[in-house]
Amino acid sequence: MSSTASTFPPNSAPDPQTKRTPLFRPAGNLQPGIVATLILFFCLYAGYRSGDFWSALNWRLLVQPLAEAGLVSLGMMFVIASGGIDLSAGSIIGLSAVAAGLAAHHGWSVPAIEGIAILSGLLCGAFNGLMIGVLRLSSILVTLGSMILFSGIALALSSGSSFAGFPEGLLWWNDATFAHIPVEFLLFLGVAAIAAVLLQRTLWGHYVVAIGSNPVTARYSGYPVALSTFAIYSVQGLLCGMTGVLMVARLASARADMGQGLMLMAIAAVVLGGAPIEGGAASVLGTVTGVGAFYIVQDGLLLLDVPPFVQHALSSVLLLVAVAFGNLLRGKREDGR
Amino acid sequence: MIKNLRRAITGILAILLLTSGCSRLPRNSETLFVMVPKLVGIPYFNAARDGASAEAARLGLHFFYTGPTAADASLQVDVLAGLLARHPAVLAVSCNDANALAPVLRRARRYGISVLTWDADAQPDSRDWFVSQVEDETLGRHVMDVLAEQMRGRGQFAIITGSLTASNLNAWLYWMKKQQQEKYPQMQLVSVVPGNDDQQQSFVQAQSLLQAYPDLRGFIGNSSAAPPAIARAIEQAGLSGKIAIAGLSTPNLMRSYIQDGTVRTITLWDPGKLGRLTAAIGAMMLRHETPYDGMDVPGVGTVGVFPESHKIVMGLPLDFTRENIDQYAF
Repeated sequence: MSSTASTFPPNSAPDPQTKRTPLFRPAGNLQPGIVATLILFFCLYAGYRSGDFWSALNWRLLVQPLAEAGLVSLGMMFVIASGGIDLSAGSIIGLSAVAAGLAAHHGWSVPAIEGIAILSGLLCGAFNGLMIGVLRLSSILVTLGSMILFSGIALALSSGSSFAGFPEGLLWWNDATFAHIPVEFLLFLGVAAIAAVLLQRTLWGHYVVAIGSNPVTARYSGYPVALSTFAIYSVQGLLCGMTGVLMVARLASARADMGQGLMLMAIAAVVLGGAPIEGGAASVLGTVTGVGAFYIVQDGLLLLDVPPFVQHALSSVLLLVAVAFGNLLRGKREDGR
Repeated sequence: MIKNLRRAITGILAILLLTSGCSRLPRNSETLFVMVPKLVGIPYFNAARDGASAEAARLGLHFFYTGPTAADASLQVDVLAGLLARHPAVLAVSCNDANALAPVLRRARRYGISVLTWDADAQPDSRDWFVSQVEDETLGRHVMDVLAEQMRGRGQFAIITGSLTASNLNAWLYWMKKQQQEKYPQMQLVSVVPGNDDQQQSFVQAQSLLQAYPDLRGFIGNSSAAPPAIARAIEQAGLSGKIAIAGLSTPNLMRSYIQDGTVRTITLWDPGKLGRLTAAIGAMMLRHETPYDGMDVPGVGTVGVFPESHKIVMGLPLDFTRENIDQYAF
């Protein structure tokens, strides 16, 4: 990720921003802690009222969609940290699912199916990265366009219908467990750990946050802004491709509109985890907390017989309360500035 | 600050406890009948819910109705995954996608839950029985006949469907096109566009079709949100009576257009009856009985049963016209 064009000597002056923070500590932000505490109370309450909440089955079923949304959220975290936004994430998932469907339809082997799906996600992300990083177009406009473009391609390739008949080997992802934990979820935890290292221990992670806090300064500091931005969206595309594969395995089918709900969920999860929407900061632990919060609350409310529309409203109350708290605390901290 | 935090959390928890009570929910999984629509909150599924809940109460089942807030297969799978943890006795699902719902329904069957699909089917091996309103072929051909009769078998027409991925809508679409090709060669289908089960989107689609094809003489609305939107677009363009409308929608949505004559006939079935039938079949599952052809279901009538495809068919489509529309309220 480092670039020879960079004139900034990375290992010199102990700039406060490059100072090492513990890998999993959300730097000075209390919001993930607040959300986690609220969720803990919610779990105790839900577990008390519904005998099914703490069952192993419930958690097994719960963590699988959580893992999928989690992967997209991690990608979205990098995008938001760099001050951008990716509206096309859902469409990329749909497109890579359809790519997997086409590959399966033509009798490709399981690794080839997985490979083509992830590759198409990566290519979509690279396309966004090229437009935003190299051509310096606004991320919201580029991804708004590519959202429609990618889902259009996916719809055209699939002519609107859903693919079925995937080989057993691919569906393995849905049923496989390791020590009674779904493999999907373990994969998510692994990716989260890698993301934490990337964000806090690599030069690229530093660039991402620097671009988010002030792109002009980053550029004048000689940071490889174009290349780093390109990488951000490519990583996001890659993660969307992986999500596509997991969704295909869990739903045993592929459709163009498959990831539609996940894009907004991912943005909300990142913000719920305490990252400012304007960029310049991010935390993997916060993002994982954010996405977990959404799925746990949704599942708990369902078990508590709460009507679906009220479930929606309550989940968004969670988001608003947490963001309001976060802003309040951040405001207090920044008063002295 | 910590004190403030603690106070806030206590407050929120207190509100949570007060609003939803603190009694433990009973675990009634032995007799729990869970019904899941494609999406909650539209009159069609509300009517089905009312029918099913009345029948379930009569038969002594615990009735629970929930579903996704948008007609989206993966949202629906998430809801179902949550429901499996409650281990209902019978699970009845109107599927947003035949393939996508199959794995979670198979898993439900592995856990010993009786699985019914109703209104829209999943892959046959993922459910015990499919409770169908009417055969796809009968319905698709019938709607085409209704339109052709008004257009006297000639002219251009367009179709506004729901989403391009809904399997039941696509099946009806297929039979509509087939009937037109076989029986009405002088009619010409100019376009099939999605309205995404949304009246506003369908309205915009209808308006742009009217502009794009000035010779358009007919519309089919292949999703309950489409026909009222088409009728409104035609009224606004001042073309009432000049352009024929056929399709599938509910009496509530169409009442004013049928009464003012913009629309002559609209087709559907009675979702309340479909809900009743689904609950009745659910009760049979609980008693380990097998449905048989020609059996009489109270409040529904005689139903057709196809044991080889595990399918139960409620009956023929129902046409709503100015004469009978006031008997139905859904």
